[in-house]
Amino acid sequence: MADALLHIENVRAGYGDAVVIDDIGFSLGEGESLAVLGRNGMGKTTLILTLMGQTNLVAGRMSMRGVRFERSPSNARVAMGLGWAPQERGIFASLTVEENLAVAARAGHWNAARTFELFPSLAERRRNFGNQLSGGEQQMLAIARALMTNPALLLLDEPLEGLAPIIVEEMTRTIRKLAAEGVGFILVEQHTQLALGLTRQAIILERGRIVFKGASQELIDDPSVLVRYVGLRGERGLVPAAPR
Amino acid sequence: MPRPFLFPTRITPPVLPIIQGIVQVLFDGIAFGMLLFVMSVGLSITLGMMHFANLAHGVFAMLGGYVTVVLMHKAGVPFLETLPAAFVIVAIVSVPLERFVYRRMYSAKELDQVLLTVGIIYMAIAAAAYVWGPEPMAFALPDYLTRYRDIGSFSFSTYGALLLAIGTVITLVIFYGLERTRFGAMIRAAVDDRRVALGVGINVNRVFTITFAVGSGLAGLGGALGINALGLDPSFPIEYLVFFLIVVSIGGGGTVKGALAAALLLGLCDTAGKYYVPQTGAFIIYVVMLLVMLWRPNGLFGRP
Repeated sequence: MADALLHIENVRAGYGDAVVIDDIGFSLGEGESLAVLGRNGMGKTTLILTLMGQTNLVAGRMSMRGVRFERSPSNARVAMGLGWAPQERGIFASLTVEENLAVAARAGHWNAARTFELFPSLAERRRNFGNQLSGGEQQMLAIARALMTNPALLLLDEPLEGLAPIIVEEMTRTIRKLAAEGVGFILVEQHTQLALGLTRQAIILERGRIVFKGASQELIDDPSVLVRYVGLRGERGLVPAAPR
Repeated sequence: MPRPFLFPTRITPPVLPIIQGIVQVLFDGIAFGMLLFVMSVGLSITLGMMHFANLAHGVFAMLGGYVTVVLMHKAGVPFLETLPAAFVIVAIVSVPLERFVYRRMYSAKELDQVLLTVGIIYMAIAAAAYVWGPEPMAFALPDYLTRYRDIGSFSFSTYGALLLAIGTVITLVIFYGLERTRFGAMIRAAVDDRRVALGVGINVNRVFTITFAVGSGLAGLGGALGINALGLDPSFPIEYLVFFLIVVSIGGGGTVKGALAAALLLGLCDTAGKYYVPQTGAFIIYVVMLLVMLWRPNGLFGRP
């Protein structure tokens, strides 16, 4: 599997001495999508942060297109093709919308003009500072900023959290559009049905370990695994799952 | 026939000295404040970005002073032409120090950082005393900078005007660089949130090294410019440490606006104190700092 877009195995990581995720392994091909599901505190965000090199990696291998990166700093991973939209959004408050995009820019398909096309409401606020944006706008900016790095794989950490239903719909359409354009992504989401509708593959984390790994469709067809590990909490059903 | 009293063409004697004094204090105070700003703005930005307590910032200012004196005395270079050299040489010297010594300590505890940088201060003091001797360096400004220029009833020193001019240009360049360039946006991003900055691909280490070098170079330039006002001997880094710390604590780390406001406030208070109450003048700045700290514990422009 050396030529997989992303391949990780036996990953154990956490913060300080505390191990939060253990024995994590999966592979993703170019343009593929993966939903990371699980209850709160089961290690979903820790997995994303570990991919970005922002946790303490105790053991495991991680490679991108065959190149190992588990010892590389965050910024080098971005250069290798990981695009991160953090859970807390991480918008730079003292930078304008334009500047938030400019500092992340890397040569490629995605530039400011194209991301503004994708998120027209950001274009209207291009001269506003990061701390003058609504939650939805901040989320759009976090994704737009990640796109500016021209990633091979987007890491979306709860991009729909705390957004109004209408914005959730808009965001879902955008993620679908990105997927159709061949951008691969890992989606951490509490809106389970939504996440399954957007992705081809899924894993469920329970206390830092993978308890399910398979096709998203499997979980849609047979929700019993979901009910056991995620419960019905996440199924708000704001938008029906995409037809396949 | 005397002119009406309400429209005096000349300021009458008892008022004139008071106004002259105020203008003098404003001019000298702002000029001194500009000097302090040039010397300490680098410390403010680097502190905000890496949260590294670099107490040895004054070492760079001292080094700039020695570069200027050595170039003037040994090579006969005119004062003004030594200033760019002071900036460049100190900036270059600061890079290996940041790369190989400071970088290891960014995640260390504050006490360790303080111990390291205080140690560097004492090493620098000993080194400077060894190379250039423990006495204050003899230094004379060129003639054209020792003159006073009269404008109306007021007279201004050309040296003060030089500090004001250079300080203003540097302030404008810094604001432009920080607010209007992509590199400046990267600096602000790293100050806002270093982890996210790394996570969107900004090479924070490289951005920091360049920022540190420019800040150190500015300290060197300030040290060179300020020899006439501050003197130059090996104890410089410890003698003026408190000034840098006041600027940073009053301004708040990581903000150029804050550093500018704090430096001007400090310059004005120090000058006014020494002019009006010479006995206790040097003490005034500490009172001002105490009051500002009580009023705004994170500094004038600081973030909580």
